[in-house]
Amino acid sequence: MKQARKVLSTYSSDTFGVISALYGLGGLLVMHDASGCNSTFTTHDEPRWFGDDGLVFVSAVTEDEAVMGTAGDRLAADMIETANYYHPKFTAIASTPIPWMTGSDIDLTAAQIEESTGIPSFGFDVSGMKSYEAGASAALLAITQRFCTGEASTRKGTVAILGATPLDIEEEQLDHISVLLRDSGKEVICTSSMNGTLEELAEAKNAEVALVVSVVGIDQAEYLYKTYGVPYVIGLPCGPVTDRAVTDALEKAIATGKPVAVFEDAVSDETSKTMIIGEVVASRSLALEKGGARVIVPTQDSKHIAALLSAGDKVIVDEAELENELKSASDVYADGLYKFIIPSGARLIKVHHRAYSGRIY
Amino acid sequence: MLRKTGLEYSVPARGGWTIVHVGMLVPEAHEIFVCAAGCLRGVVLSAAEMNLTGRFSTVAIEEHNVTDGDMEELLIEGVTDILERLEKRPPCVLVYTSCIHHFMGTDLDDCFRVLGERFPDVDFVDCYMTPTMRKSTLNPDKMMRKRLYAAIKPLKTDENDVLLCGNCFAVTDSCDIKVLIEKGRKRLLELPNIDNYADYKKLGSAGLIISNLSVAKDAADELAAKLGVKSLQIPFSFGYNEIKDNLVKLAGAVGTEYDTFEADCRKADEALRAAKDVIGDCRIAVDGMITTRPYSLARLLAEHGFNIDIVFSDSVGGEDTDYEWLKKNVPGISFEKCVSPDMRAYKKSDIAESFGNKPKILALGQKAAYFTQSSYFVDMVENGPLYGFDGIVRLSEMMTESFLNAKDLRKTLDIKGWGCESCI
Repeated sequence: MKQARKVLSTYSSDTFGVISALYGLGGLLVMHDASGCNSTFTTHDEPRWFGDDGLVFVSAVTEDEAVMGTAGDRLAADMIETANYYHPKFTAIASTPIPWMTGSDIDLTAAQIEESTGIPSFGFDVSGMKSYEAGASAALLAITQRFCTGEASTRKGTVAILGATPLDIEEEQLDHISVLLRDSGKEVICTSSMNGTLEELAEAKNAEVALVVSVVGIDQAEYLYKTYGVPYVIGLPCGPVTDRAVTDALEKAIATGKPVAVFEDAVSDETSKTMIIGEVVASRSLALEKGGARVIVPTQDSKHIAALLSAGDKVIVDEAELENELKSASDVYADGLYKFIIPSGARLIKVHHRAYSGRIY
Repeated sequence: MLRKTGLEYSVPARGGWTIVHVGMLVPEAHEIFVCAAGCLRGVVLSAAEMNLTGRFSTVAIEEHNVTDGDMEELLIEGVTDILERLEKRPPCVLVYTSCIHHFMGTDLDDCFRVLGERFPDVDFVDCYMTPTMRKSTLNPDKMMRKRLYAAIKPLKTDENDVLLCGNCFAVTDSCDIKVLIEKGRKRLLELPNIDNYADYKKLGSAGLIISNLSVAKDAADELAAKLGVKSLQIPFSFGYNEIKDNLVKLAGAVGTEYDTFEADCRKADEALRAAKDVIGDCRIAVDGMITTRPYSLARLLAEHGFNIDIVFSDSVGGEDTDYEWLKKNVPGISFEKCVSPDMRAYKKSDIAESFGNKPKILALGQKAAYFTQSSYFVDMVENGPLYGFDGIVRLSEMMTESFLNAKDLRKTLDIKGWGCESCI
């Protein structure tokens, strides 16, 4: 049964994807939830929580409010008061199962907050039932559409890194990318949104090219491409092969003005005994780096996944089907929590993915 | 100040046990959570961090289940699929449903009836992850303590067995409760000390059910009614007279007398004095995570000369007398509500900058440690193994040890569920 998991973990949800994507940009972020979401997000998904003062809260919706339909009004009032106290650069509400199910008008609540405070406000009507990719993608697109506006003035030699959140990208990876780009003569003017700022995000339209490091940045990149003509490269540099491929692809994108994926010409070998389980951009990049491997994407909530896979790759969310697929594997690159279904004869090469195992490994 | 807002903040102090941890106290039981991805995220990783992934499974609710109205089918077929794929059939399965089932009116009775028919060798226990109910009379924490004992069936009563109901941690051998029960020639039974399902089922012979946590009272009363025996509440406290009253009640229930009150008071006083000699006038912060009675603890310490500075707790919760006493008798004491959104900036603006390398503040509890950024803290949750006068002696020793030896603040607070292993 696709939705039943005997032993495997759960990918971070759309609600957390929204908050992760916007965290660090100076906003007041509220999960419209009874309790638990804040603790879960900050415990497992947000490595910055312990040491900084990011404004993430839950609305603490109660049973009575959910039944009587009064949670929205109270949430608006609470967020207005809190916004007037902290003076955030924007506010955002991410929904969860109960407000989603009861049809709470998140957009209206956001509009009330913006009207009262004058602070740009967003509502994300996510259900808490999809993977983080859906929420992070929507949040990055919305924040970019709102703050990256006006006329563009392309700056030669500049790059905007898109789709970077701690759910998919480690600090070390971001450091590696920064060094790689700098050494190839590029200047990073925006990292959206991990370690970036709202002001830097506004500069993304001026980038000569964008580098999309995870699937959640593709909608954002499409917006910049269609609105400002910023071409983009999809790929995650993770070694000598992909480092070279990415820098070459950046030049190609600049020259042609067209989007390009670094692995678009690489075809997975359907008979390969090396398998990679994970986020599609990272996994296909790793497959390229390793000279050929089959990619298995265990999530299905981004519309871009299918287009990024090659013939030998698969989307598998069913635990039993995945377990069966792995029976022919000799080497499996995957997060450590997949160890429970790795066949005894196969080797697990751990690739930490925070969206899966959180901060455990 | 943001005291009026209903938004809530989450302190990055992870020691408190959740319904995942509590449910794992039923030996050999398998937990299956039927929830949305966002709700599953926390519990599945809690189980992983307990290194108990093998006793934990999930069924994910998706949007189409809500619109299609097939929640019963999803639960039944999901649980069935998992049980058929497990290598070994567990004797007991805790099936956790969530808020969404209850708002949709899912027919859980029918779900459990079908599962019972399909798997007659399994005890199914309906459990609840319903945070929308957290401010209700029967909140999820109380409900979980009740469900811990749901699979126990009445057996022939053994008057010599006394069950301490609802605690996550077994008491120490020197604990007043244990000493008194053994003095009455009876045996203390505690779920945390039971490691197999057969012994769990034998709890059905308990002749007396006692409880010392308010969240466990309903569980104790329900179990006692089921077994046809008496339920006795001996509420946790740091107040000498309240402890005495409880021990007198317990002694009567187990056929003995409590006759060491004066001696016990002296021992507690001596232990507190010894701690005070070391700790001196160091400021002390107390939280509601280390104990269920933070105001009672703060009062005890203040009465014994300690410099109580702050109490971090989300509510006074039945401790009005101690709270009022502290307000009246401890000048300068402050009370902070941990979930208030303005606590997000509390540590930097109010406390951290005033600290040096020495323990300028001793924190009692993880939340107090975080807010004060003190590496000198007592690391315990929900009263730990303590109770009564012996508990005061032990806590005094822990305070002294914690004052003298710094801990790794972040490493300790990052561990989800006190006592679990961190794989960080």
